Amino acid sequence: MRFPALFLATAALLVACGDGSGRETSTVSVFAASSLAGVLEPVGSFVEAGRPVEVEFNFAGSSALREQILDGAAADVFISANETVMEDIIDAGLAEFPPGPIASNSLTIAVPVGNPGGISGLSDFADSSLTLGLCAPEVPCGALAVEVLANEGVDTSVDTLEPNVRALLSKVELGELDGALVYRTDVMASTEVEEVALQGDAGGKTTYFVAQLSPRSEARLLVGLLTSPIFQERFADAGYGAP
Amino acid sequence: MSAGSQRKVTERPPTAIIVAAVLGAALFVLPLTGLLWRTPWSRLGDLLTAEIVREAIVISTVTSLAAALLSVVLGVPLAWLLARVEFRGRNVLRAVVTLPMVLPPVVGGAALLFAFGRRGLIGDPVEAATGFVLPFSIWAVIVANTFVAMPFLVVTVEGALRSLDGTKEAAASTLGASQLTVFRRIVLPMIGPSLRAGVVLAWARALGEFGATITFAGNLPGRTQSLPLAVFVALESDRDAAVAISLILVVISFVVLLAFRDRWWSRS
Repeated sequence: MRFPALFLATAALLVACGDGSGRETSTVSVFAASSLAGVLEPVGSFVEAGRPVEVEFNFAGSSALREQILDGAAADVFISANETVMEDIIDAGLAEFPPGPIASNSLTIAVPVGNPGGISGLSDFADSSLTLGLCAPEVPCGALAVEVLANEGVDTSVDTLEPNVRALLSKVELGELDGALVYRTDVMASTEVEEVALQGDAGGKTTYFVAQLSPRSEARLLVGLLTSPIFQERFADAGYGAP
Repeated sequence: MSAGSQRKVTERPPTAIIVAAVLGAALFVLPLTGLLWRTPWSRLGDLLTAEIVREAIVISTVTSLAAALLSVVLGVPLAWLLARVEFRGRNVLRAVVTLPMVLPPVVGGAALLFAFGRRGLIGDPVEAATGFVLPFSIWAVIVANTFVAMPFLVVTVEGALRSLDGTKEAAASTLGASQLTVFRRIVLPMIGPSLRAGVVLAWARALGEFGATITFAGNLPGRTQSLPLAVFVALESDRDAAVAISLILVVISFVVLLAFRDRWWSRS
């Protein structure tokens, strides 16, 4: 008896919610690389202020988002973690304007607090006695890791290729991995890992690109904001490099 | 199905039931059709003979069979304990054992890390004493698979044990057979069909296991990358490859379920 009652109450609540939000507010859907999760929320609030819109973020790996968009997902804006992923969107004729760069990122070594593996640089990624991780080469952070290690001539010996940078970082945070190549901004945002900084531009560079996928004015506004001085400063504060 | 044991339905079944049943069946048939529709048949041969796929097939086969075996070796005694021995906390233990059936596998994987990881409850002292590290090894894949698969066997076998009335066991005991002999010679043959069904269920669950594995064992082609992990990674870059690998999983599971399910279920 109690169960159907609860079910009906829940259903009624859902219907009520649907009515409330569906009438006036429209949703602007932003698909963005998960490594941008920390900095993009304020941009959304800015667009929402005083407008009958709600900015909804879908954070995931760039490649996965690309597949969703190519499959017809209704995204107004797409921000990818590298240029390669964006090219498929351009080729499919989905971008309203040529996509532009908004920020860049580079890789660095994340180690558990105290650096138990005694990692000192990229050459340690050839050491099979250490437990090490990278992103899978199929995703942007993994593609960049392959490039960075090849540039240093490291014959890589790692123990896991994680499907996204967040999963990789959490294995360092848990102390399961002695070290991993992650984005600089991830290390800066985490209190549970330390950084073994790379020299010069050894960490490579990946550039985030933004594409406006629908002609809506809110989408255009959001893309414009990302390149505005205010938000460029926020990117810099969070550790992102200039585009 | 053994037709003789079932009552034949002679009247036309109610329309509402048929409509609901067809909708229910469509939920399973349509996604499968979608998969077949998206399968890149012309490239299938090339995609399936790639080294990464062959390695994943081997890893999936070995780890799912190992998990099924471990489930029998550890799960049958556990089911017997739960079915036949009265002890404090039995209900709690039963709930804990069946928890992985409802738990999101990723949570299971994280819990395995907290216990057997390098900084885990057991893993930390074990590494200090022996240097052995479980995560990121094929053993970790087997442990993760067993963790999610064994409950299916335990539940099936415990149900079968409970449904025995115990008279034959009692008779054998009266005639002087030891408990172990009773179990081996009387109980095991009687629960045979359920045991086999439990093994197939556990094996099938292990074959499809993803979340606990990638969380606990990581993902490395040739070492820990099973078929489901290969599908997930391939989805990021090569959809055709992902669909092709999914097709292997579907075909293997389908053939096994088709061949054994009806036979084994109906006999029990």
